Amino acid sequence: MKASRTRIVWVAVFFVYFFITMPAAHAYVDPGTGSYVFQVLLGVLLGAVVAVKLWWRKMWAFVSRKRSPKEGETGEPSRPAR
Amino acid sequence: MTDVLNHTESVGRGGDRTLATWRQRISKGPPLIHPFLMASFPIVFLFARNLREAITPSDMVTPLELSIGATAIFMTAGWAIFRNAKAVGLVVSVWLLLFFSYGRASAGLQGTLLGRDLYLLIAWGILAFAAVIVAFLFRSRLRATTSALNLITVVLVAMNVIPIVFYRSAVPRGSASSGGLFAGQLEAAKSSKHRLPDIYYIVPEDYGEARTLRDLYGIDTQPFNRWLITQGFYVATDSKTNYPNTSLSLSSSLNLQYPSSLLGEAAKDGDAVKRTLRGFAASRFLKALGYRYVHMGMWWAATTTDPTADVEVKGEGLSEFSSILYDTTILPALSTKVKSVGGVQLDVRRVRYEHTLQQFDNLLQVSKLRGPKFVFVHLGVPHAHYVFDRKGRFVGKTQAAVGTREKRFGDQALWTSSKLQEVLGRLLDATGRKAVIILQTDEGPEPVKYPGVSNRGPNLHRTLLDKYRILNAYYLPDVSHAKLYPSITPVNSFRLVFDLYFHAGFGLLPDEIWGKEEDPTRFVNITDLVQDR
Repeated sequence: MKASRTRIVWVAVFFVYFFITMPAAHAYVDPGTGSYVFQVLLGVLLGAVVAVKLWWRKMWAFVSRKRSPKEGETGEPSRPAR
Repeated sequence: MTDVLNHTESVGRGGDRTLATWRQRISKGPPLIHPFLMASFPIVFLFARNLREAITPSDMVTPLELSIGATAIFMTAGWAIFRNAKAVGLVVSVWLLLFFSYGRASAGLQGTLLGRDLYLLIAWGILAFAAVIVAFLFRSRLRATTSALNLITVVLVAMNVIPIVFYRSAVPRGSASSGGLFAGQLEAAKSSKHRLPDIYYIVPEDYGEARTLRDLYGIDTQPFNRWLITQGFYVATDSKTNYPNTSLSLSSSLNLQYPSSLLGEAAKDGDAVKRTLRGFAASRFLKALGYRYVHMGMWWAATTTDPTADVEVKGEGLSEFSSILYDTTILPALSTKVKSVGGVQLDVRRVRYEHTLQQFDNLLQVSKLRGPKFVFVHLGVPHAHYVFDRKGRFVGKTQAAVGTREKRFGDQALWTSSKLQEVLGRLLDATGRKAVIILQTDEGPEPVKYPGVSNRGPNLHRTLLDKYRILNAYYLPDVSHAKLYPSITPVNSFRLVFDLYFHAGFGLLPDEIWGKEEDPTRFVNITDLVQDR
């Protein structure tokens, strides 16, 4: 249920994005620097969001270890030392 | 491996299989695709951004080949040297981003200290070097970075590919042509006895008119107009364009009707109008009569080529799309030192200069083609880039920075008039003075911006005249000039010529002048507003 709601949100975001960024007709080919910068930033933002989603457990574990040196307090499995 | 399985299991217990799958893939090592996607992104972005500018997917092919090919070479060479594909991939992706962003940064910082090539190149060099250092320092811990970069670049490319895939023009390809609309006139033309003179339609882009050129740019092109008259041309002294921009103006002349009649509501869509400049009514009519259609376009994408032409005279140099893409890269900054690579000219100004000279030469060359022919020539001058001085000498980037834009345009316009005089003289001789020649500009000078009819300022009338007045001259051998009149507009040019030579029975349309208000999709009849007082 939650997953399908997330998908709907993503699809909605994409549609809104495409609606907003539909190119206007110019007289000539337009470099569109503003849109270019916007897209690069958006890509970085999305990448960051997914990266956090993929590795938040590791990040949380890292932060927790910093806060308390004792293992197991966060409930996260610890990786064996090498 | 055991570690991976344990880790995956722990996630699976959390019920999130998708994340587990991703982690498993990452633990095996993500595929190295981000450099290739990064090599494609700026090109696909520019294409998606300009879907409505009459560009075609083929415009992307060569830039993509070069970009992806160069990336593959860098990746291979880097891997051969450093034996660490992920580190090399990171460096190549950052370098690609820097490569394709330099021109944009330079344009954005123009006028500031950092905007100078020297400082910006140093800054770019530092960033490029920093990427190498970071990749080297973290070379053994780049798994996650590679995955993140893959994801980012997939999103960047997808954001632009999706609009391209789903884009539909307001008018389907090919349906902008008027089909059997002129069937009656064609029948009449076929059944009447007449000769088939060669027809040249020559359009110097944004040349304007002699009074405008004198008043705004201080140049005297009246001698050229007088020369035209002495050669037998009829110069329509009170002619104005039907529309204040190239695509609408050319569409009205080439299709023998107002775009609103041809396209209906779709005439408000710039892309739909540009599509009417290929396979237009005049060329189809003449081809049906047995003419060969010779197309000679300029760099502007809408008239660069026409697939329906029998002979396409293509100029060398970059297309409009490639040229704009080139300007966004670091190459223009480097091309001040490196003029060409492998015979390919890198200086866009030099390319434009040589292409224009080539257009004039080609115009004379095609006159040697046998059989009746219709030649459409869209000249790229005197529109920017301003690369000709008054004597036709090349004006480089450094020289162009001196003086005003008006001065540069004036110089190029003056050279254009003298070059036209020379070439038309030779064309008249080459054709035995038997060819029909229409010399017609599409609109007023490019530096004059269309003011919008709702701008009721004190200079509105004058500015409208500057934008709408055009050079409109006809060389019509062996027919009476009685039907020509000073205020003829482009929409009636081919109607008149076809009636005079082929007795087609088109008749003339009312000479209407159209403008736009703030709403760019709304046309307003301003015929009365732009009359000379």
